[in-house]
Amino acid sequence: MAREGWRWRVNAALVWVGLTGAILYPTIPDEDGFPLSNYPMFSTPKGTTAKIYHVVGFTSDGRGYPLSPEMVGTDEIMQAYQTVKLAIRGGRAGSLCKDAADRVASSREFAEVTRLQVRIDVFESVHYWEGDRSASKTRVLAKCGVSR
Amino acid sequence: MTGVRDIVAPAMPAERLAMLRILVGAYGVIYLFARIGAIVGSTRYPAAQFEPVGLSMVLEHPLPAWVVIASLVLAIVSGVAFTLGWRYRVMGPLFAAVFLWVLCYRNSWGMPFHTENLLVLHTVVLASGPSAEAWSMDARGTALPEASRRYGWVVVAMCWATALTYFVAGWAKLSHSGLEWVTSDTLRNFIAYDNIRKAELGAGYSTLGTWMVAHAWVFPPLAAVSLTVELAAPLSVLNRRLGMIWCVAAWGFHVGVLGLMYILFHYPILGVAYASYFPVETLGRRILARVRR
Repeated sequence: MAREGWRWRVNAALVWVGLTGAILYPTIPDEDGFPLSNYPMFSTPKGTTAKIYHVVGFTSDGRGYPLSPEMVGTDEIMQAYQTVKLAIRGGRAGSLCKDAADRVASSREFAEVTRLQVRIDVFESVHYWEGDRSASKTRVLAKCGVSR
Repeated sequence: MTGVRDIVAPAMPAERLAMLRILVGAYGVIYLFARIGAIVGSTRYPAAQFEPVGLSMVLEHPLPAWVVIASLVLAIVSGVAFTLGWRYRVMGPLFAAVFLWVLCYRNSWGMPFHTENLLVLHTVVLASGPSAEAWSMDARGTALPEASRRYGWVVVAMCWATALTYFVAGWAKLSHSGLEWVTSDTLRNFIAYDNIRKAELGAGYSTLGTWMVAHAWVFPPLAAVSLTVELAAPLSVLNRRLGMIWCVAAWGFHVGVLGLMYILFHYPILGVAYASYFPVETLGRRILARVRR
C-alpha cells in the first residue's frame, strides 16, 4: 500500500468530498440546475388541475389540433412546453405564433390548419382521462393566420 | 469486518475502470451525435429564452452559433480520445469539461434535462482517476497492472454519485410534500397531468398510465416503493450484493416511469448508469477473447 503512494489518496479524498458536497448542495438553497439539481420535478404536492401552455392549430371548419413540438422549433416535447410557457410569460406569444405559422405553412402534417392560437388551457386532470377533455378555463394569448 | 477503507476504496482490477471508461465515453459520444439537432437547434431560440445553468452562468447572452458548433465538435473529438484512452491525462479532463460545458449550454433554454445529470457526473469522476491504465491506447504494449485501491475508489465514487442523485430526488419529495407524497393522490395527479401535457402538445403519451389514473388505489403503494428506492440508494455502496439488488430495483423504477409517464431515462434504462456496480470487465474480457480467436 505504501508503495502505491499518497497522491491518489489525496485525489480520491478531494473527489469524494467534492462530489458529495456538490450533489447534496442543491438541497440547501432548494434550487434546480444542471448538472446539480434538487430534482424538484414531481416532488411538490399536486392538485387535480392541469394548466397547459400550448399552441393549437384550427382548420377552416373549426377543428382544433395541438401542434407537434417541431412546429414550435424543437423535437423535444418538454423543451417545446417550456418554449411556449416562457414565450407567454415573456410577452412573446405573438412572435411565437408567427414563427409557428411559418413552420405550419410548409408542413404536410398540418396542411389543413389555417389559423393558430397560443393559449393556456386548464383541464381537470383525472376527468380528462375519464373522457371529459373540455378545458374548464381557456386564455388565448395570441392568434395568427397561416399563409401558404 | 469491512472497514471504511474497504468500502470507499476496495482493490479492483484496472480493467473494470477501463471498461467503465469505454462504456461511459462511448455512451457520451453517441449521445452527443444523437443530440446534434437539439444542440445546434438551440442557436435558433430567441435570446430572451436564455436562462443559463451550471457553467453557462458565466454568460450574459447566448453564444454565436459557430462557438456552439465548435464546442460540440471538440466534445465529440475529445470524447473519442477519452473512450480510446488516448493521451488520457489531457483528453480525459478535457472531455469531461467540454461535455459539461456543451450540456450546460443545451440545458440553458428553460428546460433542464435531468436525464443527463448522472452521465456528466460519471464522466467527471472517470476523468479524475487513472481510468486509462488498461485497455487504452496509452497502455499499449504494457502489462496489465495488478488490482489496486487506486482503481477501486473511482468505481465506488461512480456508485456513490449514482446513489446520491437518487437520494436527493427522494429527499426533495419528503421535504416538499412530506409523507403525503405517498399517502395522497399526488403521484396519480402527476401521472394524469404529465400525460395531458404530452397529449395537448401533440406528442405520444402512456396509455397504461392514463388507464391507471381511474384506479386511485394503485398509486400509494407505487409511491411508497419509488420513495423507498430513492431514499435507500446510499445503502447500495455498502456491499456488492446490496448494490446489485438496489440496481435492479432502481432499473425497475425507471421502467415504471417509462410505462406510466412515457419518460425515457435512457442512461439508467440501458444499464450504463449502473455498470459501476457490476464486474463489467468480464464483458470486456469476453469481447477481447472473441476478437483474438
